[in-house]
Amino acid sequence: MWKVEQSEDCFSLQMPATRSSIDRADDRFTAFLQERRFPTDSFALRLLLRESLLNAVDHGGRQDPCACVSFTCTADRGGMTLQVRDPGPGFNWREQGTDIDHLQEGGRGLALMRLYSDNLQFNDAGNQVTMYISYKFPPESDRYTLGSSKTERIEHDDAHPGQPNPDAVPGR
Amino acid sequence: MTTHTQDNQTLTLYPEGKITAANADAFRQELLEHVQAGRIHLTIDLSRVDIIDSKGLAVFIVCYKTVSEKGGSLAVIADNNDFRNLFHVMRLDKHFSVRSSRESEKTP
Repeated sequence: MWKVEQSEDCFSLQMPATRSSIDRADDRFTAFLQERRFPTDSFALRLLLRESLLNAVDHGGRQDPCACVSFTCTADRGGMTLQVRDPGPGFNWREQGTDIDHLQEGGRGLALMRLYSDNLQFNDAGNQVTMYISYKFPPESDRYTLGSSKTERIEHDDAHPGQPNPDAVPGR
Repeated sequence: MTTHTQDNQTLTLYPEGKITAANADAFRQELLEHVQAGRIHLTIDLSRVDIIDSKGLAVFIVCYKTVSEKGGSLAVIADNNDFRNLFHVMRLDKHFSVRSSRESEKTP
């Protein structure tokens, strides 16, 4: 189920809905960020990746290794768009408050995603989240050219048995 | 995890790598075992840590609550600005000390 693809301005992966997969996804994404040297806060991007994947794995995928979670990061000259989709039915994000009890154990993942992104939106169902972080390249920079290269498949691992089966995953 | 014991009640811990959803339960268990053994004044030095997520932060909260109930204390040493900012935006530095190693040396 593991699949990682990247080009000059895009990184995408599909992974099983397990917590250990989040570490592996972070490692691949961190390598992509280091190679591309985007002028942005890599800690914030890694945190957004981790928190959005964690929600997708725990709530949408129910930590089912046969469920598939997808992540896409697309960069342009103005910033990066991160998107995570899970196979669950979603949740009612409209009823999620912004206040949290700071000594409560759980419930701070979404708060972190809001704090570390410039914009955060869910789709209607609530099983896809899109976050945006803006940045600026130095004016003299000519390193970055939009849409400059073909997509490169860097990892394709079908070692995990089974295919994603959204119907088998209980709701959030 | 490397530890350094100052006395029977005081311990500095040096976790390594990631403190995230994948290993948060094990990290929590190790901390609570120290507290149960009477080491209620804990300092956690993050100099060897690469990343912390919300599940990792939750372990610090549990640890803080547990040592506080026993009359102990929790302090975090983080030279990494990202880590200090993470504890700050979550307002955890209002409950326990989160300092750089230089600040810790000045005000033990």
